[in-house]
Amino acid sequence: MTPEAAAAATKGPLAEAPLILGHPTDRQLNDELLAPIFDPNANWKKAVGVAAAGTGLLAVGVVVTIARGIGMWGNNIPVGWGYGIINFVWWIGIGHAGTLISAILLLFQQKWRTSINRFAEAMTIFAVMQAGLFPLIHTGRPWFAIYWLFPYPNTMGIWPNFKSPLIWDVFAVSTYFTISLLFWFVGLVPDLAALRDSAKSKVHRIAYGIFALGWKGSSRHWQHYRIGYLILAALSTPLVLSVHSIVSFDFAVAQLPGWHTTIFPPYFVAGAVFSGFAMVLTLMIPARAVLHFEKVVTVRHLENMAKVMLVTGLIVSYGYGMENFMAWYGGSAYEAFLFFRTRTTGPYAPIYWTLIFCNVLVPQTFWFKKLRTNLAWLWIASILVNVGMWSERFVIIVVSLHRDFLPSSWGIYAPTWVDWSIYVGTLSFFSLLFLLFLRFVPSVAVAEVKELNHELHHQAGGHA
Amino acid sequence: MPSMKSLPVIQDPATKALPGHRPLWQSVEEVARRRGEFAAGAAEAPPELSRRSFLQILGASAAFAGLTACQPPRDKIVPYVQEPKEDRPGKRLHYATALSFEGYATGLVVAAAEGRPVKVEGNPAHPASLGASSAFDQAALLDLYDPGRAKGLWRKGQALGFRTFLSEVQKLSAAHEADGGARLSFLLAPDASPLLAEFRRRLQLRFPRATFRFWAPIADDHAQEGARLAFGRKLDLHARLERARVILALDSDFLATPGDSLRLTREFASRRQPGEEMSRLYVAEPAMTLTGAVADHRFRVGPAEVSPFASAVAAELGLGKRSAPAGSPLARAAKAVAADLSRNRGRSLVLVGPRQPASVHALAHALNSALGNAGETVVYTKPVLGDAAPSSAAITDLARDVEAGRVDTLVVTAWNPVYAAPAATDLGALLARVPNAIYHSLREDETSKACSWRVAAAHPFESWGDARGRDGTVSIVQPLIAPLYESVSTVDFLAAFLDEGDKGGLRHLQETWRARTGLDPATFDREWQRWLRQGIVAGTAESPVAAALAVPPAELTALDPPARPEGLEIAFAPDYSVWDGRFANNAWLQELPDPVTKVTWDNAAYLSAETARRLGVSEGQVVTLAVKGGSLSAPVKVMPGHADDCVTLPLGYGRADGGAVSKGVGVNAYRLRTTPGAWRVAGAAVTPGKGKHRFAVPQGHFAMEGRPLALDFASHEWAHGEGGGELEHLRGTPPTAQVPVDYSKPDYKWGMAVDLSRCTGCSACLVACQEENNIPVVGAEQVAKGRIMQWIRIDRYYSGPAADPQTISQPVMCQHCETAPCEYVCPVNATVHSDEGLNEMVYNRCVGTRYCSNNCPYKVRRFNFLNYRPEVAPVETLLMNPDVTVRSRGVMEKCTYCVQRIERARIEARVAGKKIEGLQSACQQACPAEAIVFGNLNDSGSKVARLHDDARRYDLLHELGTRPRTAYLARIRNPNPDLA
Amino acid sequence: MREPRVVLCQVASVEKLYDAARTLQAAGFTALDFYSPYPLPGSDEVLKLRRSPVPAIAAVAGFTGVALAVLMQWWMNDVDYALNVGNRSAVPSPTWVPIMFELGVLLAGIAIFLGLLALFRFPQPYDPLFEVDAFRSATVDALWLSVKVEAGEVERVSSELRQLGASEVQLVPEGA
Repeated sequence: MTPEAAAAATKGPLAEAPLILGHPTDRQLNDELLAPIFDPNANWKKAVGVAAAGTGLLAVGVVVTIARGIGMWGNNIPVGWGYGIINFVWWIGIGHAGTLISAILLLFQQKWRTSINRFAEAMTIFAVMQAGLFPLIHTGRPWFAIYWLFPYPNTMGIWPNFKSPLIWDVFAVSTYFTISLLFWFVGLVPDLAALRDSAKSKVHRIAYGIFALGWKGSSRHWQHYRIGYLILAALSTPLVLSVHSIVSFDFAVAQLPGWHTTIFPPYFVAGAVFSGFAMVLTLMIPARAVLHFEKVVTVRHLENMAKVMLVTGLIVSYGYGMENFMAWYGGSAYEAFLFFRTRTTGPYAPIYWTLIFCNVLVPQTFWFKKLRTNLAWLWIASILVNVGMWSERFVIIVVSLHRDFLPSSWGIYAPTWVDWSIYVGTLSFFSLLFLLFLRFVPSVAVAEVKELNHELHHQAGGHA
Repeated sequence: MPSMKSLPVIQDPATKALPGHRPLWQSVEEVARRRGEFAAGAAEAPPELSRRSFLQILGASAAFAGLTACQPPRDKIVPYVQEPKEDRPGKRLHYATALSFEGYATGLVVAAAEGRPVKVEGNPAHPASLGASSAFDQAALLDLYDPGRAKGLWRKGQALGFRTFLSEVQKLSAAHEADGGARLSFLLAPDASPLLAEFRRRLQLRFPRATFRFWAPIADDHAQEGARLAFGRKLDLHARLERARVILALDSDFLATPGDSLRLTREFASRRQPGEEMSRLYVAEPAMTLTGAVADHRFRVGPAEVSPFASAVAAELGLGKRSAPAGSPLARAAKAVAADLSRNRGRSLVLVGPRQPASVHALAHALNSALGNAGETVVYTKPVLGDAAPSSAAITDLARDVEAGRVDTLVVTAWNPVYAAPAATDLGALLARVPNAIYHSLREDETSKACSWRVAAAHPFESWGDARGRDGTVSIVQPLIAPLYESVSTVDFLAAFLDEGDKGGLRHLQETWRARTGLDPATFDREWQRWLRQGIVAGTAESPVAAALAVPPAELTALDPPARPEGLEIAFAPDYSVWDGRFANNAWLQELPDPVTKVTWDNAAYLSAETARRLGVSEGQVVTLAVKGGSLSAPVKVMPGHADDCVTLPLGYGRADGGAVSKGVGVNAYRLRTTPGAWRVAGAAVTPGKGKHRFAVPQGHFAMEGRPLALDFASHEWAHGEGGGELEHLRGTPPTAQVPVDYSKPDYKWGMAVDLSRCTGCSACLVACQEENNIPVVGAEQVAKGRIMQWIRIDRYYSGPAADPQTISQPVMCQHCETAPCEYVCPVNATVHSDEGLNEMVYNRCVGTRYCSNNCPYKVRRFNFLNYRPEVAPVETLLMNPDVTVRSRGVMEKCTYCVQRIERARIEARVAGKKIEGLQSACQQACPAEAIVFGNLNDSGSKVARLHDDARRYDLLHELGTRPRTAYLARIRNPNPDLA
Repeated sequence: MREPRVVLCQVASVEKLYDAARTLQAAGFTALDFYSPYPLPGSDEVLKLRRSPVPAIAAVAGFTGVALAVLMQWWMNDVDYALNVGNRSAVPSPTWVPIMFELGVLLAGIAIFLGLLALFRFPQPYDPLFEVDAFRSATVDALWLSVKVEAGEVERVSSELRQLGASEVQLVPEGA
């Protein structure tokens, strides 16, 4: 077939830019994509130093919290949940893009995913690690919570209460972490093997050899591998949806105005994808430049992510609209008061309006190709969206709690230095893990890129 | 002082006789061991000897066994020989005793566990208690165990043994006897105790030229003077609110009258049910008070405008000419009030507060007699305090004597004169000049610093004595526990000046009373037993005297009222938490939200929004108040309903040496109280300052936002409702997807009812709950953070104009919802439902996710954000109720409907083989208004079941379908149609 | 009877690879395998592989998880230690669903991973193939073919492969 026809065949209707620039050979791809591991960037150490220092803050915050108690945070009655749960939901949300990109796009045969899925999956795992920290340390007695939340036979003869959304969380988050990790690792095996086999030093060879488990790229293995990987993807897809639905149950199941609403599951999931993609962009745009991945992570990839953010942003905005509509239409005085008085004019109104600006207005700029493809703006927008999503969680949790049914019990919430240091600490810890990932693990799915490359050229009639 | 650490709660006699130390206290167990010693005298059990009486006697004997080794001689009282099983560990022993406040006694029944008092209750037999108890009574227990109490006997910084002290005092007395005690002076706390009166009589015989003065920071000289003006002699006034249909309170917070608040609250509440007999209360006052908050009509008038208003009312009733300027709102009010009063001759009542001048009191007496209320709604008796009534002048007279060097020995039992004396008289310096200033006090305070002798006073729960209620009823004060610290009871202290300090309070008492009654020993002993058991000496109440006006009413109405003062006027008020400052070191009371302002751990310069605007000051701003002879920086707090052009300053804060708890709390209003006992000072200058003060207020929002929360109806609206049709939509079981659990099967279905018509918001329940349930105090900073721990919250809402609002109080504790939202969200099953419908909190299972609190629409759950029980002094651990878990950090807690009381009652009922009866929750038992009723809803005859069927019953947040077990009864107001 | 030996060779393209395979199969050598950096479309057919058992493993594990979740929640909360929790006593209860799903997914996922390890006999840090240095390109950019043959036939097969255009034809050393 002709090159034009081939091009048309591989490019989707929306596709303009190519997925891989030039006609690199497998060997070239291999060496370029694995380069960061064999000759790292000079500034890597500095970056790690900064991230490690920030992670120290996390350690301090956690130690103080466990030593002195939750009283070191800003939480009170009525605001029983503060930064702890806000950050939990925020991180979990961020954790969703990874699996979504990998799994759903894989199922939909979206070729453009290959260059970014590994990156996104790693982000998922690290984000979920941050998220997982909070439910534990936010409890009054973590030393019990850490195991009492699991159904294990005990001398008290008592079991967890499976009617509580918090227990669903325990199952959802641990499942999500496990599956994401397996999915990530399974996908990684062929690349680890490639690393083993293209390694110059014996150390690399042995180290990666161990993790490669003995992968040889045998077709008899590829057969099981492909189907297994596909099923993992098929499982992960509904899992992504379920996890954030369940997180949203923490609120939807309660009867508190601002929490008690049926729209939460879809709108949390959309929000999660929204913030997840934003975070991928926030990380990918600089990483791509530093690691010279422009060949495989093209503007088209970034643009597609911007499109996804536009769609999910619209869904989220619809969610906001629906909430307000229901508050009016449902006729509950308490809910109406929350939506039309407390949120818009209450003590935390600025945060509410920040959320509206970042999550509703900013994505609208992605209607315009110019802005979609303007990396600087993309990067800023992605950060704004993350700010917006954090504000959304603040509004849902703190603003709903601080003024509920009985005005007599209304209160105000202010975070303490411990709240901040834990939050900043998780950001740093996340970056630290990410830097280590970039340094020691193939941050692009090499095997898949080769496959795609082979496919493109094959269809283009060329030969690698 | 050996540390309490070395002393286990249950002591072994062997470990007790440490050489050189007298043991600090003994336990009931020990008495059991020694019962033999007491065998004599407990021959026949008196006919009406109830189980409780038994325990009272046992309690006394227990305390007495305690005394054997400490206080001077070994005394014995009626022993308790039967049913030794009664004093097993875990059993409660109840003692009847009495606690004096401002000289007047309230009868109490105190429960002790393993020999330590752990709970204070009112004595149903006592006319001033009627079974109820006040926040102050409840908090007395914390004072008892306060590690900061004064300890030991000191002279010029050197410790004296009890014996040495006695001999030193003996020498001193002997010296003074020479000149008839001319240079000996006593400054005593007001006290109606017959025994102390007897002591005074004998002291006067021994020291004919000695001066005896009675003083308290808050005295009601005006009332006494008013009575003298009206009747030609001093008389006590006793309101009979249960007979009054129309009450006019002129700057009178009668629901907080010292020594009488419980009875008056009970009587007032008893007439707040809708119907013909419902009473109507008019209040004219500057600052919002408990009484003003429950008024049907509250007239917001400055302290100086009360008198003209009273005159106007009088004029309307044809007494005097001074009617208010026609057309003024007050004139209209006066007209309506007068009409209402005259419509209810003999069933109306005019009361005046201590802040008002004698002329107004006299006028009130004239009004009451003109309205034929005397002998009906108000009766007069000769003063119960008699010559022991406090006089504000006492302090300045004393100062003059000391100044002139006429005092060598000064004996002070009055509370803390140095702190509370008028700013001008620098009493501290003066007392330092007195060679022997002997200060007998429960705590080291400002006065201790100035006195050369400091004698630690035994707590009333540690001493023998007697006391009289406001109506004159005598109670024997019996110790419940031997002194925790080296200290001397008031009786022994004063006896020391008769050279009888080592005789022992009991002997003094019995001799005095044997003499007073003139009974033969056998009869006396029987009587004595009965007095101890019942907690009162029957028939000792003062009988009413016929009080005819000594002068024609015209003269009284003609008494010229004080001139309207120029400029801003400052009104002083006793504080609901610390009174005049004597409770400043009591953490329970400090953290008790003020019933009106909800402020904890603080006082403030209260003024109206209008006045604040005019002065250009804002809430929390620190201002300097200056009057002639004193100035004070105080934070401003705007109080809705406060009169304009005046500032209200609660007394008792800003302590310099009041103890660890009171340090740095609030500002000292006495600094502006330039004349002794002054209630008001005019011409205050206010200069706005820079500082901003943050008040620790657990409730931040006072509007109901149009939500049906604390409901009230005007009586006429209610009548139209044909039996509560208004509330049908707020009760019953809303539709639910879940099949409701059937609670009719078990014997008991616990429930509670709170009658908002009765509740005055006095907050006694709150302290009772704190005491019963080992609830920690968290301090101002944590309160400000929104982490107060009290299980009961008394919500206070304002409605109507912000400047002059209507007030309603609503106690909110766990509602024990049948479909509790807190339960299904708990991941570890730490809060679940019992088959009797209790919403149970399993502390040791709780991991502290706080989800339950988030999902509680009533926000009644409390969380231990920090360890609120850090290392406490061992003596403080004696305070704990052994039946209630002390919660650890990171655990959620909340009202349990006093589950420990339920289980105790269940055990007792099972032993007796009958159903639980007479079970009361702690809040219910304390409540003077009987506003809280707890009980078994499966017993259709029970009071709580009846109240749940009351026309006024409704459920809080009913539409949420939580099906609360606590029902509220809507408050009914009884406004005067003429004023509508 | 001596162990069969493995002959290894690199092939330039997928087409060549498949041709070689078919020829060898025709010659009766069926113990073939390919090695490539990425999965080769059609290799299953060429190698005549049976359907993979992985989906079955996943299904069994998944439904076990679901069943486990139902039993666990029902037995623990309604049988073994039944409590009245906010009057929510319905059995079966919709509140079971989330954990049913999660446990199903969890077990299925873990089963797939362990299943693959089992099928691959992984971890297998050493393989005689690794002795062939050039074979390292198999995971990088080259296509390789391996065939099991009797010791006697090594020479014949090797020359056969050379004729089919294979490079780097060599005998894999005895598995140590």
